[in-house]
Amino acid sequence: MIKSREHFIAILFLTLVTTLFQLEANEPETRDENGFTKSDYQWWAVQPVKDVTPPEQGEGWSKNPIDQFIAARLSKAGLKPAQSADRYELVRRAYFDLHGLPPTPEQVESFVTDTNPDAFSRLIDQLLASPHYGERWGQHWLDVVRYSESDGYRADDYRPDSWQYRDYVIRSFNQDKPYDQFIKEQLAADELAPDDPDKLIGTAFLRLGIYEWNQRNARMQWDLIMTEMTNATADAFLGIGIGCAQCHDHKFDPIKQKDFFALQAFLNTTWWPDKHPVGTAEQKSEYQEKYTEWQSKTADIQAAMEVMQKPTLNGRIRGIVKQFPDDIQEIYRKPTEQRNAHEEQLAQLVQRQVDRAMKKNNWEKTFAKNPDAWAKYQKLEADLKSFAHLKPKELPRGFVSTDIKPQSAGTFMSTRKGKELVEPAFLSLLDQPLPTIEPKQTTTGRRTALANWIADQNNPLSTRVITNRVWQYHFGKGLAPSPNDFGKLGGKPTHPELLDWLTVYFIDGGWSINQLHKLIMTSATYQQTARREPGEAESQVDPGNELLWRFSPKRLSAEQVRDSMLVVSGELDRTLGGKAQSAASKKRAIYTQKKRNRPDPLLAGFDAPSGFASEPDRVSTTTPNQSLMLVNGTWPMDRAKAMARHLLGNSQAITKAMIEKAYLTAYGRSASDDEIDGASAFIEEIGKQAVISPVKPDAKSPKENGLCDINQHFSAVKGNIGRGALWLQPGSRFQQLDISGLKIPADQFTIETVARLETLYQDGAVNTLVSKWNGNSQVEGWALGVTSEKSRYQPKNFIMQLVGDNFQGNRVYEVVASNLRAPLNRPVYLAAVVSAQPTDGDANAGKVTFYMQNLADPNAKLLKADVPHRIVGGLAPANLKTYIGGRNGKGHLWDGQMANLRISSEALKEDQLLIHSLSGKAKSKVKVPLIADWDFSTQDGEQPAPGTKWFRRAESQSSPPLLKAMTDFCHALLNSNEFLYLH
Amino acid sequence: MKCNQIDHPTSRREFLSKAGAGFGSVALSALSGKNLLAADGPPNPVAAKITHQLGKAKNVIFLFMEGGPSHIDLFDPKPLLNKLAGKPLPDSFDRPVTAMGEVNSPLLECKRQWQQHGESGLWISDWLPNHSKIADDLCVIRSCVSDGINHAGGVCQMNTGSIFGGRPSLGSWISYGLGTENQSLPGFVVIKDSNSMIVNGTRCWGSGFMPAVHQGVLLEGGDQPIANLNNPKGMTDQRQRTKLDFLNQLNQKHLLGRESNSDLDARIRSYELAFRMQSEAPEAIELDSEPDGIKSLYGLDHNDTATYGRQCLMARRLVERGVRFIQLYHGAGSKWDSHSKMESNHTRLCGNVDQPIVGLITDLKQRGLLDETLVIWGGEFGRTPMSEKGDGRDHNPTGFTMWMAGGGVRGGQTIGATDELGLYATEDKMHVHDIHATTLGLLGLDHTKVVYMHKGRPERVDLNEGHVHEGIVSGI
Repeated sequence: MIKSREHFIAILFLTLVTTLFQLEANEPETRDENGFTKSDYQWWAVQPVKDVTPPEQGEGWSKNPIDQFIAARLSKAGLKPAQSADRYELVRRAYFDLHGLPPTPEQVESFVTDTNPDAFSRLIDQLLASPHYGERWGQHWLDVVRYSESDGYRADDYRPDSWQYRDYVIRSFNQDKPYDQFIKEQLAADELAPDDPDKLIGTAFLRLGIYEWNQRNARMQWDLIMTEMTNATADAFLGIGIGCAQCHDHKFDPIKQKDFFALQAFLNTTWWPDKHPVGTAEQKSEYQEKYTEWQSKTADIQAAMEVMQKPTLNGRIRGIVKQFPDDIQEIYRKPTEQRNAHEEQLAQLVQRQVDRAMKKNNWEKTFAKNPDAWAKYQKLEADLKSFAHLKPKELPRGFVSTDIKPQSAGTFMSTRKGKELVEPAFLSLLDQPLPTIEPKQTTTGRRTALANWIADQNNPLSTRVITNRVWQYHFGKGLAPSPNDFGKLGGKPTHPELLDWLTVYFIDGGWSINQLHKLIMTSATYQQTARREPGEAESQVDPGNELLWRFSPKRLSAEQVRDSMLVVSGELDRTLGGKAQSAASKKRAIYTQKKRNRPDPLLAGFDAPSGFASEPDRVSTTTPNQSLMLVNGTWPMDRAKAMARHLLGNSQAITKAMIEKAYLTAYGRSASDDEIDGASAFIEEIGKQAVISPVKPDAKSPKENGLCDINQHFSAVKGNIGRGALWLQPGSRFQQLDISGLKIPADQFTIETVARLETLYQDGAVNTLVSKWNGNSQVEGWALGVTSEKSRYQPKNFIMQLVGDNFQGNRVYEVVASNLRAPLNRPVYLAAVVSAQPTDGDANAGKVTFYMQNLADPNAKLLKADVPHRIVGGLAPANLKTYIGGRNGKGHLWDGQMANLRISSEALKEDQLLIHSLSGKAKSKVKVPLIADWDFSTQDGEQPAPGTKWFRRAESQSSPPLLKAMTDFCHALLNSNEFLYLH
Repeated sequence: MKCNQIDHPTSRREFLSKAGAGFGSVALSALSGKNLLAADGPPNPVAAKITHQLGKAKNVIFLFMEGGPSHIDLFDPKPLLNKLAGKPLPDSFDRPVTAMGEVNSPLLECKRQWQQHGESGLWISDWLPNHSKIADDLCVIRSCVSDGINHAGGVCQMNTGSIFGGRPSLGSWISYGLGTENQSLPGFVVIKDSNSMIVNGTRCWGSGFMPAVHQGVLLEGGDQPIANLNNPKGMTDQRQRTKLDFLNQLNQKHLLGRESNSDLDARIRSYELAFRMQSEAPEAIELDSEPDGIKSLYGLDHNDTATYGRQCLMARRLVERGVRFIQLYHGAGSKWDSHSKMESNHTRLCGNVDQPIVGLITDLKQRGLLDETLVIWGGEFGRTPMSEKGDGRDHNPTGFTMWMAGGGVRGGQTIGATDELGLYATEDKMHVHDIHATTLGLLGLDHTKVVYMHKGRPERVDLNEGHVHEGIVSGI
């Protein structure tokens, strides 16, 4: 393979490089003892950063030294800078640049009317002081460090704690953390600040790569992880394509294969601990103290339980371990003190798979054939529980990295001569002394040495790389064109002296990124208008605007598109930080979940990176899929509707002022008379069309009644189920029934129904039978329902959605699936016995027991499914309503009927169930703590059961055609180029 | 300096100057074709381009059997396997790392009847009885090799060349290298046989680090074959048109004085394209108009073959409309993955695809389309000779079978070989990189010249490691 690669490179080198870079005729250059030529040592990126004096240029235009450099190049090329941007252009640019959000009309107004000469300078200060700044610039860094929140292989497991790192990055930018400190924290905070949780989380950088939970080739997996970590480090901090040197010396740049492994050798002992407690030194010792006490008091009980568990657990461990290759099994069987660091890494890869298998315990089942043992086990569990008050609450788990042992795991390079041990070292071209490495108590000290080198102000690469990145994000293009690769293929800087001057300025300013922003943004270069068309000279000499004869126009980034729509629709939730939200959330895009295999279509469609590798810049594509998404997709349409509602208020007519407001909000400028006329004409036309084609009458609710006769759909049911049934008709006035009057306990209850479902959704929506939830995975609640066509749990699955607290007190969302399939168009008994308390036998798990019986089939049996889940508390949603047929929020409706509903305040036993009394077998013998027992035998469709009322969405005050017309107008604005581009 | 073709130059002159000087200029300078540099508009990045050399194939249909079909029970007979059945793998074989650790399990016999078919005498098992009719069209490659021992890595590599996500898929490379011929349909289309998702999700047809314009588009059943294709609920065509006209009015006004920004015009056109797609896409996959004879040729008249038959027939219609790369997944969600009960699993799945595939090849041939359409069959890997759970087989990426047909491929031949048990490829190894390189070659593209610059580095479909297997091409 190496041979073929070299072959290719050689050809490429000859055919392309010679022509492209116009190298002089290829006389073989002599190489020194290190294998480098004279020109290798002249590579611009490794030269010391020069303290340049700005040229005396740009008089009358220049505002600061940046402009002098720019003016010098422009004048040399015979070009002139553009006029400065007007205030409207400038304020919009600054808000998008520093916050990623459009300015509100008030913010525009306040800036354009500020006549003070330092108005723009104050605006920059004000923007930098806002927490929205970190949300915008943090995203740039997240791109660079391949941030994502899932594993990236088949299962693509979500990493629920990764948001801690995202918030750390945002926080660091908002604090204007000196960049050298930022480097050190991400590479080595576990060695430099192990007891400072705020810094320690920086080491998540090392574990953002992908991971395959069931990979049995442990060696290969670890190699991939190490390679990925090495590449990400070089890409992000050093701007060199060291990945090219993994298999051979770099063919274009003076980077040796050994350099790749020498860099890896700094990282090689890193590990991703699963349960790394995070806290201050006091918190940790306090925890340890309490834990030791609990441990000592319960040691006997735990030991007795372990004895009973052992046969089962050992069997399961064997089952997992035997799937690995023999040598890995052997390592796993060694005691940990006999494993070297690399073996420990491999063994821990096995352990992760073992741990995962250990989580599925059902001791009741294990001891099913041995009642004595089961009784004994339950007794032990109860004993253990009695000490629960002594057990300290676990410290939060940190999504952090640290070394697996204080001894190095060793890095080996395979060459034709065999395997060679490589020690940590810096790029050999730099010919620097070997690093001084001071081992720490639990770590090797290697990453600290690396961090110190990268964060050294004399490092020519890292310092230029970050300065160049900041410039690039302001202007759309770096001074060096490839921000992740300063090598030959990356291209030379357009303004090398400016890059050096800025780098010196940056270092002298204490590595302050904010100071760099301020200088760049107050330059005349930055304040040029983008509204200048290229003349003959510009087209000839510099059509790509590399010399900056104007400000380059930009399309909004994916996040800016999404966030801007939320701003102009008035819906943006500006809450900062916290666990990641679903894509439907109204929080900023940076706070939505980032899954490698299931990216949000809107963000991915507008070129958000996939998180597999460091991305230094965004491509900006234009595709018909984007247009389909914008013009037909639900999300932009909903934003337009919200914007329209906002503008209309309670008005019965569309006024000129509303159109003006819309322009101001969407474009940050006033509308011209022509534009107002054009918009009015369009709105009028749509208004007419909307009146002509009224919404079709709803065929589903002809009788306009919330009830139907029991015989209409439930005649097949044997037994007494009353005379009437609730008729749930999505889209009608009888869509969902509010039963919030019922007081259902939060931790244990039982819901039983006799119901019938007519249709499934074509997508993944849930046909919700009863719920107390708003569909937000961060908000506590529950919903009982049946899945639809595209559900991840297969269609017709009888499920429960739960959001509550797990045993550590973290809020989690879980779909508890029974895998019982509810038949369509059949009367069916559906019941869920819900327990959100620790289950007997497992303190970490709650349980839902599902029951189902097809009542149309006389031979059908009562089916049962016991499903454990992680939620052991906190199911009680305070302000949410309880509904039959839907939930708080839109969609997820039940299309069908319900003949009976019984809710009890306990987790019922099987013999207490309604199904038995239906068939008369156990009638009235068992007592049940009922909260509701309804059979809908009333005539009053408006109130089918006591204390209930149909949920009716408040009709908009504006008439529908008016709202439609306004929505279409707003929708067109959101689709328009003026909204999507800064030009 | 960005030199990929997608980097819209601000003028024709700039474009030409870049074309002459940029990396990837080899691909660039070969660009031509309609709309690419139309005088009245900016270049369309996927306008069809002239290829590097004259290759026969214009389109590809990739029949992806997801989960890993058993090569040693379909195309690669191993008499020794049945002799050693029940015994462990002989010591003379290297121990592979397998997904479920079945390296020491007894060898599992092959219960198939084997026969040679066609004039070429190609070996095909009785699991694919109808394939005998197309034996002389198939070039069976018995020596395929991949690096992914799990589905995630395997499917990812078969699609993108890497077991690690983030790279463009084969269809994206072909869209990048060749452009599309139909401006109203996507150039890269994916159809699955069920609602189940393919392993790794939508990134199987993602464009990785390439612009999104090269990504695959999932065609689905139901009344909205492409995501967001239909008007929003309650929106009449007339109202939609009125809105688009108004939008166009806004955009034209905005364009005044900004004409140098070709992105603006490209977006204006993308709405028109989207609007055209709304009418053309449903028509392209509408099968009612097909005559009954054709429907039954593809197996649409039988329940067990109707689903894949529909996919194959849609693929033919898409090829006719100039769609470059069509991927037809069968067994979406790893259904071919037969760790146990392989007999019933493969009997059923082979039954699903046998007639539809034969129908596709036959129909392409009778329409004269086979010469310009490369058909590729295979999964992400094959299966081990060792048993799993008594009656199944584990994953085998170290030696497995794929086949190619049409598109200039010399049919009726077998390439490469595995060892006597079908565990390792031994002769003429074809790594996934070689398969990708050869696929590009059959399309007339030189895989070493279809270079995309990413992060300042030249990237290729084959990660710089593939070779074209010339023996696959007729006449060489």
